[in-house]
Amino acid sequence: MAEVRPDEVSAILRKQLAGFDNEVDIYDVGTVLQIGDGIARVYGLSKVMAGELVEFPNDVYGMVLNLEEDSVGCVIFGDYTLIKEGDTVKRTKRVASFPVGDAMLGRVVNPLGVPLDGKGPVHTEQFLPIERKAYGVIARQPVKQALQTGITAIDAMIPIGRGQRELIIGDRQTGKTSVAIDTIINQKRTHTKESMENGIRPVYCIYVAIGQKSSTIAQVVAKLHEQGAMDYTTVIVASASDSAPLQFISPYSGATMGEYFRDNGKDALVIYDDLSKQAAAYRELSLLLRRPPGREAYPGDVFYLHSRLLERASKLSDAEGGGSLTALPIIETQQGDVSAYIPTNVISITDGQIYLEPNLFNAGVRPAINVGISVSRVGGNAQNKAMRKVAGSLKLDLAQYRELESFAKFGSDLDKATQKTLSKGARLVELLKQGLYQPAPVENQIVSVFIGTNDYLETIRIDDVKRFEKEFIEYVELKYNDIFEKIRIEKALSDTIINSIKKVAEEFLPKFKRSESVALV
Amino acid sequence: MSNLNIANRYATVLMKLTEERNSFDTVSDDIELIKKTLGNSKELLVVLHSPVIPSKTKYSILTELFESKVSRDSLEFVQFIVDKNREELLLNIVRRYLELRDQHLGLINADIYSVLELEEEQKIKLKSRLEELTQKKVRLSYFIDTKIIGGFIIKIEDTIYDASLRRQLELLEKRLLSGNLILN
Repeated sequence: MAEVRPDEVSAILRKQLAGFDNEVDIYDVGTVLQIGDGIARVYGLSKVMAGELVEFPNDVYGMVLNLEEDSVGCVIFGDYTLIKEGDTVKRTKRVASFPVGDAMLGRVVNPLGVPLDGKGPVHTEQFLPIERKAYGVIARQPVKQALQTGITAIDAMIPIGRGQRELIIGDRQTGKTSVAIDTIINQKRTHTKESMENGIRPVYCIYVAIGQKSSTIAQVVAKLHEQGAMDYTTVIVASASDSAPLQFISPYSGATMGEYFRDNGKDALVIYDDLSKQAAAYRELSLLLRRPPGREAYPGDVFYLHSRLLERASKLSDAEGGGSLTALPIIETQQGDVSAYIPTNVISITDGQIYLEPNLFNAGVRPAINVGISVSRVGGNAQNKAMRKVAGSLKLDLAQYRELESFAKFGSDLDKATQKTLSKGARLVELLKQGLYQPAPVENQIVSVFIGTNDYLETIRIDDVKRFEKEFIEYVELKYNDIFEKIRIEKALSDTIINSIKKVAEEFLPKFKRSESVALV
Repeated sequence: MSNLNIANRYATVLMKLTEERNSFDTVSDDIELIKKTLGNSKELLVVLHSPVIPSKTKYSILTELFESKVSRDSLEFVQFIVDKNREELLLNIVRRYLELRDQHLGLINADIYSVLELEEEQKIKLKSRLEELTQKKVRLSYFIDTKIIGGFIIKIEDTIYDASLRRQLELLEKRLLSGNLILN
């Protein structure tokens, strides 16, 4: 049996401890005057800086937010019941940081980087500060590449580019998180060898859950695992039971993680679900810190809270590596009121919004996107050229349909042209409906929109439209897969491709089994 | 308004008064006495804090206590505080005045915690070193604290110079726990 001799032990100890310097430890301290509700008032700490991390006893950390004449207001990350009045508070002389690196992919962590998924500690080399200044104008370039969400309505008419900020706004239970999750799932296509050969770079995703139920978050994580999306996704969680300071910094941690990819020349997508809860957490903090309340009791700098977060999403110039960070913030409105304080703030910051309406949702149009008022300010610049060609007339047809929608009840009393617009519009709306967690690849979307806008659905019943689309895509995949290949590679719709699609459509139409005899609705 | 703010105002006013009337030294000594008295008597503090005891009673208590022991200016100041119903902050005001006095004299307070009583030579050396470091006059107070195991701790305002053995052991513990050991 091997034995460890005492002199071996002392030799090893001596070696390990040799590098231990025993200089005088100098630190600045303060005393806790008042503690409660996650806020501590500290006396002393005369040299502390705003935003600095301070250490309380029992390994509790806090962040200094208020520097006042005679005291310092700190928010506490963690269990404030472990601290009592009179405790000593130490300066750490560093700001709050988040661990970043590829080791974070696939993990579920809290806003300070502590893992929550039980898979052991995260081994990262780098720590980046949570609060960072966004890049200036010179370091950026315009958004030019597409970020495919997999949702046809969005990719066709409200296209999102890499480096853009697009707001997803709607009432509760309208499918906001689902749009975000579908986008994450769709990025799986960007991690295949084939797409890299076609010049599409992989997109790494970060999902920040702010103030949500832990059960909902668990469902989301499970769904991402199921779809194989966790390999390139990090989930940062500040659930409803976490303290307000953690909910307040969680989006910034997400942005820091995204910046790691952006600054290394890669593309990243960060989803903030949702910012209304972060604003509420910030309001709670500010009121407890006795900062003066403004409109709706929010503090005066709630705009700055969101603007500095969203400004960090950008497309960098080639000199800086050409990386990008796309942000999809989510805001929940109350009863469709988009002119409330926080929604208007965030709308003015982002480069466009996607409106989800409960009326559409209840009428069966899912995703419940109101295409009329949804906007993407980046638009066609970041769109696949092929998609841009077919989507042009799509938006127009739908707009015309919406104008005439109220006349639909007159049925056959209308003139032929109006009837045609109505029937085409109804079929297009049906075509844009999509199932949950079923993002479509861009070539499928292009072909679908093509047959929709070129009147191939005229003779199909509305109920059959989705089935027609599905079977048509399958038919093309089976017999004419080269069409999809060509679209994928060329990324443009040349006349040859158009003609081949037309030919296949004409071939398929008679083959399609309609559910009843041809009766136009 | 927080207590510290209020105490500061009263103390600053007193300071200004002493400058005007050139009574700095006398008043400072008086205030020291008042602080000592308040510090030694818990009952007095309880009385001052009590909302049940009428203002007039507190007035007469303080007057009787300090009448023959302090100068007229200081006595009037104490009476003024009672008149303004700020007697519960008397200790804070007094403390704050002494802080201002030290500032005025360019004096800093330093607390030294050590395990054993320091020798005279050590004390002199420490004092001169600290005065060199802070560029101010240093008033040292010595305390014995066996919990620091060895070495000493110097506390100047908010900064602590920790040369204690306890701290070294704490740092060592943290380092070993963080797993920085390379086992080969």
